[in-house]
Amino acid sequence: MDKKLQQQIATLINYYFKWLVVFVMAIILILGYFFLIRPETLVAQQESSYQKIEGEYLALKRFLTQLNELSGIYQNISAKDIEKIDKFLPKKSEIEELMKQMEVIVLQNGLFLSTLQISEGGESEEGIGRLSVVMSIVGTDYIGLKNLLYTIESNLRLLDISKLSFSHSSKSTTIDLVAYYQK
Amino acid sequence: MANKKQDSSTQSKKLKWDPFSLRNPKYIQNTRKEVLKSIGVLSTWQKLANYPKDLINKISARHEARYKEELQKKQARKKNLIKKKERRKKILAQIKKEKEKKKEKKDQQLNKKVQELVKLKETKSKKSKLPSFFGGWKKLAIKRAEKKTEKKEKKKSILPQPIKKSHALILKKNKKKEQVEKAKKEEVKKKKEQEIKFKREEIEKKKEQEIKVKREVMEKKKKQELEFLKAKEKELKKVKWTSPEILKTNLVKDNIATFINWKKNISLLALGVAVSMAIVMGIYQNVVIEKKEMQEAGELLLERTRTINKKINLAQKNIEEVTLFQNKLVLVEKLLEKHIYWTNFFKLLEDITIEDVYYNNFFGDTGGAYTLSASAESFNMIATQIEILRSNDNVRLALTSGGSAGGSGEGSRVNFSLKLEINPEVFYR
Repeated sequence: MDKKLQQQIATLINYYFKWLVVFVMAIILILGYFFLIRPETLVAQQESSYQKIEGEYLALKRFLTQLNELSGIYQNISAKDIEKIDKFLPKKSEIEELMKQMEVIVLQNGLFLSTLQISEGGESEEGIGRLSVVMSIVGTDYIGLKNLLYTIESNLRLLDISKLSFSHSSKSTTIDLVAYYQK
Repeated sequence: MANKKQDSSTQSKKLKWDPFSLRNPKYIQNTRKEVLKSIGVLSTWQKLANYPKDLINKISARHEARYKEELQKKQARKKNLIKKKERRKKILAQIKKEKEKKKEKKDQQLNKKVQELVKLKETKSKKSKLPSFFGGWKKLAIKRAEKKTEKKEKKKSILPQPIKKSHALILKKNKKKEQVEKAKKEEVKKKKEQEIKFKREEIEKKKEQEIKVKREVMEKKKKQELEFLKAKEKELKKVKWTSPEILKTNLVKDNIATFINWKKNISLLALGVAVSMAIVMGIYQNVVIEKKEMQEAGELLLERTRTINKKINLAQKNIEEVTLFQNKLVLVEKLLEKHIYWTNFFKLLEDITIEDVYYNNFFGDTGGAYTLSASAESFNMIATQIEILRSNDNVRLALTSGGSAGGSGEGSRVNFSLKLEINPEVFYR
């Protein structure tokens, strides 16, 4: 090589060597970021999915608190009240119980129950079962009828009179009513 | 003549048109009063003229007295002013005197200081035994002379005076001596003052010279520095830039050789690489640690969620009852909304039925449409009953197709059938 050229290269190297060092450092940093740090961070983000788990955890926590609140409210209701509501709308049809109740009601009003027929069916709503009751009562005057109607209406087990026939002359009454139960 | 006539006519016109003209005294005498009277205004002088003479004299006397008083006041003011001026002059003179005194004091103080300085110098010169250039010898001579005279006087005072000499001669001699002494003292004083002045001037000159010398020295230094800097700049311009790192050798004339300091350069490069690698590795390590921490936290959370799930399952078992009860409550609410109250219907029927009307039987459901067989005392009562029924809001329809009287006599009643339609909402509360 020419000496002059060698000298020129040497001067160039001497002059620009600092910049060469800076350039090398920059390359190392860039390569390090793209081939080491970035893939690692991406993997960490994918693997951990910490936020997802945290979201689920919080949702479950809220649900649990709601459940606890509900159970707390239920526990606050007294057993008597629960029993009353069970009688108001029993879990089963309880036809026998109903027959007893009807006789008691009629006798309480000083009347005589001549016939009583109870049958399941009829129009039904969601979750509600119906019992159709037909009964004929003897010895009813107008006041007796009124008292009977009042006792049926205010009975703890819900009873709705659908049809009513009353004859003043023969003092007889026939009542079609509906009793309910929870299906 | 014609002109004269014109002038007279113009004068007469003037007299008429210019009643207050001062050029015509006659007019003033005659016409002014008339004019003023005609205008209805009297001037002050006219009022005065109308006053009686005694009053006018009194007024004039008062005016004179006032005038005199005013004059006296003016004179008094003038005197006061003069006095004030004199006082001011005195005060100014006093201030001047004070200032002069202060000046004198300052001069005396300065003289004293100068004398002290001179004495100090003299003592120094005595110590060095070399008289100063300016009149040192003279001073010494004067002092020696003074000392001699003092000694002589002492001797004379000690020696007995001649008895033969008359008293007058002695007085004359004494006077002469005193005069001589005074003259000598004055001379000495003058000399001293001259010396002081001369020394002052000398000191000032010396100071000025010193200042000048200092300035010159400073300027020289500055010039030298500037020259030095210029020379340096020139040298730098001449010399080409070369890196300080380069090792120079100038063995052969006109041939500069540059060498690379490989050791230094490689060490620098290694340091740079190491630093950058350390940065990258540090960040990477940090990321890895964070990843681990996140994973641990996620695991913890997962554990917690599992425990919560277990709790929820337990709670749900308990809650089945609650949900059933809740559903029941909903159903009960629905049923209560549709609960039928026949007592409401019969109460309404009682309210809208007249006392004399009786129902024989009843057959119906909760639809609200009924056909009732009833009996009344008369047809008139049936009509009123239907009117009453129709007047009620809950009654939609009240119809009858007439009736038939049954029985005879007082116990006879009219049987009739009644079609009735009422609002079915009556059955529900």
